[in-house]
Amino acid sequence: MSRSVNVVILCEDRQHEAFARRFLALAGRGTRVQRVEISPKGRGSGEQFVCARFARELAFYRSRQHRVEQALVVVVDGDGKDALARETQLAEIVMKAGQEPRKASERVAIFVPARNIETWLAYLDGQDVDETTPYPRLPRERECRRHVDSLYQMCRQGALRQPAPPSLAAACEEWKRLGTP
Amino acid sequence: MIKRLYVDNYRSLVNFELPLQELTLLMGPNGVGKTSVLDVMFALRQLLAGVAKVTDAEVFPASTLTRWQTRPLQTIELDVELAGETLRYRLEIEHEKAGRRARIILETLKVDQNPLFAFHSGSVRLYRDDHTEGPTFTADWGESALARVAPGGDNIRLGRFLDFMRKVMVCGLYPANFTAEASTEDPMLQREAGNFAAWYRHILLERQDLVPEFTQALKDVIRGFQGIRMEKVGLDTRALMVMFKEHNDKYELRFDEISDGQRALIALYSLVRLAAGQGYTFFLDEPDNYLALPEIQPWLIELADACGEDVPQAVICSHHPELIDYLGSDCGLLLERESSGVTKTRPVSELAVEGGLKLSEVVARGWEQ
Repeated sequence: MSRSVNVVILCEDRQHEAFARRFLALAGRGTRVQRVEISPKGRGSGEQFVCARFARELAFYRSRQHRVEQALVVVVDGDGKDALARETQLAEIVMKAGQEPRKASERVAIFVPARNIETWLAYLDGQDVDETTPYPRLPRERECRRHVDSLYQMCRQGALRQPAPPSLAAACEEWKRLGTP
Repeated sequence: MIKRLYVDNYRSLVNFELPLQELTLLMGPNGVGKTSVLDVMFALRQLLAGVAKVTDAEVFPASTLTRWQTRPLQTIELDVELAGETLRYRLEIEHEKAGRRARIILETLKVDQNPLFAFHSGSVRLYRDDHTEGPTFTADWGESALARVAPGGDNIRLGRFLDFMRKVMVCGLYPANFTAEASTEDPMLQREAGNFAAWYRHILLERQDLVPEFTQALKDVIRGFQGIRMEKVGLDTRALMVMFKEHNDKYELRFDEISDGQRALIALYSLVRLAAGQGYTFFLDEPDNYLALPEIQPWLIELADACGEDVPQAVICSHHPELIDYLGSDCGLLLERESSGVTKTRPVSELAVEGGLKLSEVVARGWEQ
């Protein structure tokens, strides 16, 4: 087996998964999606699923981090919270579980699309967006490819088109945690 | 893609309706008819490829009649969406009471209720694409008359349907029977993929450009894997050789010398990486067999990504929790046998599930009933 970084994606739904996998395929050189933990469709809130699983996945990550090259990618919609508020919420969950907060050295990235992933998709489709308006879902999740390709091109050029959603700008910083070349 | 399959009087399938998506996971207890669905599709493919007669063991012998019934008539119907329109194929087979002979008493292909082809009581009537009547001729009752029609300029829809059906691949991998050598190219995998080497040889000719990506995908899942090459071992015969590298040492093994699991992985990644764009529709019986746990979901992700694009459609039968949890909510279809003996289907998304439980755990507890 080649020595790639095994990535676990923890996310709310198929749109999150498709977006994250596509971006990793383009920009995550040396990474390989090994596992997707996704909220079962129609069984409660996706946000609750991610929050409930995060502490456990972080513990799994830490238990193996010196033995396996791995990374944890978390995608959870803001749904009224900004990236910092969501990160704080997850940090509290981790502490309640008796674990240390996420460290800068850990390959654990939390992406918080606000208002939700459809906001990013609308922006990447060329629209001017804000983080409170609801934007329509794509007919099929995989259709996000061209949107992610557009994001990848902006990343390569080193700048998002302005005005960019603050949550997407924060995600670009968060991406650096994965330490991909 | 196939939108609907209707089967009546075939093993446990009585008046059975199966709606299908681009990717469908068939779930349900043993004996409910999951593999029978695949067998029906294999029988149809063989019949419509013109390589089998109706009573052949792998097609519709009398032993496939539903045992708790005495009706001699088997009916199969298939709705296939091609080029934006839905074609309906119908096949009726009448079995003799003694059970030795059977004949096709009706075979039709229609689009929006308008005929494209009709075989009835030994007589064929062809129709042009505009539904005007074409020639008539008599045909053998023991095989598909549709399979004998040569596609032409005025029956493009019929030809499109036949092309589609001939690329339906029904497979339950049995790696122990995979041979390493092939003396010809074979465009179709056999039911247990024993001819994998011949199919690989065929697909290699078609899509040499996909080999680098295919090789990389296998490097990610098979330790030390470097690639596959075909070695000449006879006048026309070539053997599949699998190249490995461990601790800077390179070595090769014949395809029949590697493990069953490695053979299964190579076959499964060939389906999603090398057969991409070839128009194959896959019906796969327990593809998770022989795979290690960490090998299942990455392959499944590749298949799910390809479905509807590089792979027009895939239907999978499985009991495996990895498949149930990853695909069940979105594309799971539960097959259930009612007290009358009739098998019905229910989307898994309709299951009432206790919060926090994985779908596979719900099934393991028998709560899907």
